[in-house]
Amino acid sequence: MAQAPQLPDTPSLIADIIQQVKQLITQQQLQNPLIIGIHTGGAWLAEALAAELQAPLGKLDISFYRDDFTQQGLNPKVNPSNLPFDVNDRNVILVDDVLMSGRTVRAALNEIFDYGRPASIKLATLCAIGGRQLPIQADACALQMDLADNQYLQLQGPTPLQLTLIERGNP
Amino acid sequence: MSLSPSAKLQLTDSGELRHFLTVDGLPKTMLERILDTANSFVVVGNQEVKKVPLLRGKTVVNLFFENSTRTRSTFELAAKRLSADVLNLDIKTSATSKGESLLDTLRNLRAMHSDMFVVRHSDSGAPHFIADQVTPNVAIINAGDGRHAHPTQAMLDMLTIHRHKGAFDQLKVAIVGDILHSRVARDQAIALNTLGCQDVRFIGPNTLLPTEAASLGVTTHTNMDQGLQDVDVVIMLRLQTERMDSAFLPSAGEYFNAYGLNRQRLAKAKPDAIVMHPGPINRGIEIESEVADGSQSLILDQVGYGIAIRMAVMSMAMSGQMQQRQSSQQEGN
Amino acid sequence: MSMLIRQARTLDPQHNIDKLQDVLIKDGLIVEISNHIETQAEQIIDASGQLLIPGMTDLLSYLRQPGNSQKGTIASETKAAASAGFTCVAPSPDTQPATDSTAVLELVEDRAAQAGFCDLAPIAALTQGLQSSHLTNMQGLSKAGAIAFSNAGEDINSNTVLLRCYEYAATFGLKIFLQARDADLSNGHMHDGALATQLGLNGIPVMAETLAISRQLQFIEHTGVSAHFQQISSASGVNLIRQAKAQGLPVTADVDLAHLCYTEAQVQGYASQYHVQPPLRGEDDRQALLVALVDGTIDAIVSAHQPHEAAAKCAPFAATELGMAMYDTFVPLLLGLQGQAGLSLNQLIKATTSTPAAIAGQDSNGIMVGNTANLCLINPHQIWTLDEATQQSAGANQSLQGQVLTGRAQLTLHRGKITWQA
Repeated sequence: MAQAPQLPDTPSLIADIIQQVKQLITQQQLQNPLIIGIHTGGAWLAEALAAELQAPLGKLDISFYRDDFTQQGLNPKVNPSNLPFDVNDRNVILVDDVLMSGRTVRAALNEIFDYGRPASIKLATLCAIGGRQLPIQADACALQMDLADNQYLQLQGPTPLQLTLIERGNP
Repeated sequence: MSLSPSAKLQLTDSGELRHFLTVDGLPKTMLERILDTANSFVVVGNQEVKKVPLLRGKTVVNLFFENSTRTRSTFELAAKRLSADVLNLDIKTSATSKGESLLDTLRNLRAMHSDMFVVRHSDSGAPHFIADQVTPNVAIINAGDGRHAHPTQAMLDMLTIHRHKGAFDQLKVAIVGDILHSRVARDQAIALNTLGCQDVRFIGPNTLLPTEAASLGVTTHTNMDQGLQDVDVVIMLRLQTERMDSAFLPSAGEYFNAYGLNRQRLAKAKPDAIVMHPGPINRGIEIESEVADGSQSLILDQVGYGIAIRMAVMSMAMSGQMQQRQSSQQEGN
Repeated sequence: MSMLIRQARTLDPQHNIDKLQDVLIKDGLIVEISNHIETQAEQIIDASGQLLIPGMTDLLSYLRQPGNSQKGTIASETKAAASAGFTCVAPSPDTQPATDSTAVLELVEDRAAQAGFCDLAPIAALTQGLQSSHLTNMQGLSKAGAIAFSNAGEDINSNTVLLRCYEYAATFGLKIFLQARDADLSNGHMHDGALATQLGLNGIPVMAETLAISRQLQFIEHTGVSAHFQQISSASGVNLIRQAKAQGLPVTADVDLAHLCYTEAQVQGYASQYHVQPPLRGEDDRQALLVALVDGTIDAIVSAHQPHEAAAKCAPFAATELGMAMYDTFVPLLLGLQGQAGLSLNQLIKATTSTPAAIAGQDSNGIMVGNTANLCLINPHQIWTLDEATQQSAGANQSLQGQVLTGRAQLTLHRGKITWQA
């Protein structure tokens, strides 16, 4: 079996993504962006970003928008989604920890559109791994890698934030 | 662990809710999951956008064989907030053709590929019958059957208690009034017991107390002042005026004197006791206006929790039903 | 035609017979009984290990004709009775129209005779249309073959009418069959206990029975009418019958098989097959009924067979029709009672043969030389499954559908003719 891949240390990844988002805002001239994080890892990351950028922060729990609800059931502890601002005609930076299938981002996009019609949405993720099932790509991403079928990444936290490789039992 | 017949019918092979007919037989963990899920939906109800897409593309039929605009509205609103398509059917049945018209109606609706029936019926066990023998692949939610059960009402009362009083194990709860004919009291008592409440009391005259009430894990009191002593929660039941016609009670006035909730009586309960009532209230019969509208009353909060509870059980039962269908399809392959 | 039944355990409690015998039947009569019969017969049956008893008599059955042939016919249900070992059946007058005229009575008798499975001991209506207001032509009905008069499940509310019914019946020495239940208190759907509370079904208290028995006993005592109580269901009801017998009142009583086998617990899950009247009661009541059979307080066991089409039971519990189809499971259920509360096979057979025959005023059908060959051969060890192939009754309301049962009637002879062979 292949050696588990080495992960870069998390603080430098976070510093990198903050840098990329700043560049994105400048390049694309995104005025007064809103930061929206997806529970739970994305929300932690969004807190860091919003603090750095001095931007308004919102959080989404996409449990009610998941498309696998009829297979997986409903998570009984759903955190409230909290968007304390009007999203209409605003530029949104959507933040998640790991981009894989793209389904979570799809659910988040749907939920955001239930609140209004933003001018634009950019996606920032700490890392992106293979296995996309939807035509969704990150606009800012600190780490790209491929993993074995039984491996996945998760941001654990909140203090300290630590990107962790998790292996399910032997496939 | 052997499951009771009602639990077997209501749960999938892997223990998920697939019908919600009664709280009787459901494990504590399931009742807690319903409460937790409902808590999430309470938050949704407070958001600007109150709608979630969980049941998008699903058809929910409100099958009301007995009129209740109030209950039907809350189920309708709950279904719509889950993005389901809702069909309301009020079905009048004559006593003679009850059985047949029920079967015909259900077969027609099944042919329309409905996903969920919310059933209200004057016969105890009607939703049970439908789930068991007619349309097992349609999720059935009991919206009140005969004098048997009204589990969503009971669970919204549990949610009210839970949100205002916390854990159940130290609570003393009194349920007052026409217990005999109440479809809610039975489920309330069972739910309270299941959730760990040690002291549940039924208060009412002998004509309105059920046979062998102790089998529901309650004590009975005919004296209201004694029954209310030190309780944390007072649940008042609605008194149907037709009880006076069938010799259960002499008059509304005499009932109020013995079992109406007024400030003096409420003072027997703990100072921070909460007062609940399923509505609509008969002011001056079950409860004095000053108590109904007073600071200890949670009667209006209950209405909002009702929608959250119904959203919770509808989404859970739909999910369980779909999982069951998928697993039986896989077995079939 | 002749038939030799070899080496069956021949059991006739009325005549204290219980031994291995050969029995020879010729031209409808029992012509020889002995340890070993050499004579050859047209048909010889090796019945070793089996049980030969007199043909059974059922004091309460619903044959559904006239009026409800979608549930069963006289032909289908007397055939089912024969398959359970019965050679005589007393049909309830609760037909449509009620069996309150000689015309209806003769129609019922003719149909049964045509079918040829059982003798009938018809119960005629006590009041016209079972409406509890006008007396029926009791003398005429009696001459036409009615063995007793009953108001079926209808309680006669008026004391005046009830008094006159009994006075009139007593005048001509006619027998009353009655189902003691107070109409008002019977306005429910199951035994009034913890389960009724749990299921939210209206309860029928034991008092519905005891109140009616007490009332009936006063009328019986006053008028001297000979009365037979049907379907006693409770321990308290048994006590009242026991006291009445001790006082010397002219009363007998029966219990239906379902009440000896089942309790209210069967209703759990709204099982509409067990929606019956009187309701199935508690285990204490069931035990008291068994004891009452042992000590003779209760004289007979009846089937109370009530066949229904499937739709009659396919509805919410309270909306379903009353009664169970019993003939297909009668023999295995009856044999299963052996040893319960000390009940012997002898007592069970007596309570289904000679005693009910005597209550119905029928000729004794004991296993004696010269008697009509009304006989039933039972294999108490046969294991079989109740399914579409084995079911005889038209009734879809079988409590044990699809189940494996032990004990079955192998052969029934009615007046020497084979009416059932498994």
